[in-house]
Amino acid sequence: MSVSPIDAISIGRIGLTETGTSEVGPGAPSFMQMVGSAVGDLNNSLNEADASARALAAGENVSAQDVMIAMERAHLQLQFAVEVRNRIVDAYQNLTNMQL
Amino acid sequence: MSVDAIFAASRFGLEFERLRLEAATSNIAVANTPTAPGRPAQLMRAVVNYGDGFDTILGEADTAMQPSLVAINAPGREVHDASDPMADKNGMVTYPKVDLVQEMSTLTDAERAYEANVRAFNTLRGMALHSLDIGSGT
Repeated sequence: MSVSPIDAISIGRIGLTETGTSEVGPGAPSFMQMVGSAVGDLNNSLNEADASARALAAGENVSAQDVMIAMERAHLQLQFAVEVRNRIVDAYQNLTNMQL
Repeated sequence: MSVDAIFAASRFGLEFERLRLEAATSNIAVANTPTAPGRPAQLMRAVVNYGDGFDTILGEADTAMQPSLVAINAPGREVHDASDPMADKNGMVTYPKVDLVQEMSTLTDAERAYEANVRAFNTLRGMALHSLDIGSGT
């Protein structure tokens, strides 16, 4: 009775340096730039809602529905930003808790 | 966000219905006010200015439709009252010819349409908030 030998495990690339290519092209904005511009948009929309609410309170000729719509828009964008932050923090914690 | 266009549509509808209500209120308010002799009676009406600029023709303009109030000449209703200081040389006083039944139904119609616009906006808002719950169920 003959037992066939187990082949040696070959780990070919363990001594080589990692030469991965980036997913995004050289002209694409970096991730932090993307996050920064999104936060800037959110800040603009919050400022807009704040300014329209102040204008209404000061008695200027602003209709109430415009103020409410601006505030709702800012609210939706803020919720969106909070959800994005939650996902990023989740992913980061998954990585930091990884057992090696 | 892609919901901005629907926000703009809702805003347009709300603004237009508010102007219709304002026009009907103004018309009811002037129904018993005599007009100056020699001048046509004027009633308010909510209209939409379709922008006719080059941008609009090309479809490039963002705010093509802007609702506004305009005063239109209306027929008058003549009443004989020589003691009124607004009477003309024949002793006739002219009032704007306001159809009160039509103005009242415009009031009700505009209010209901405003509610419908608010309902549509709230539905969109609820959908946008629910879309943030995708994937967050435990």
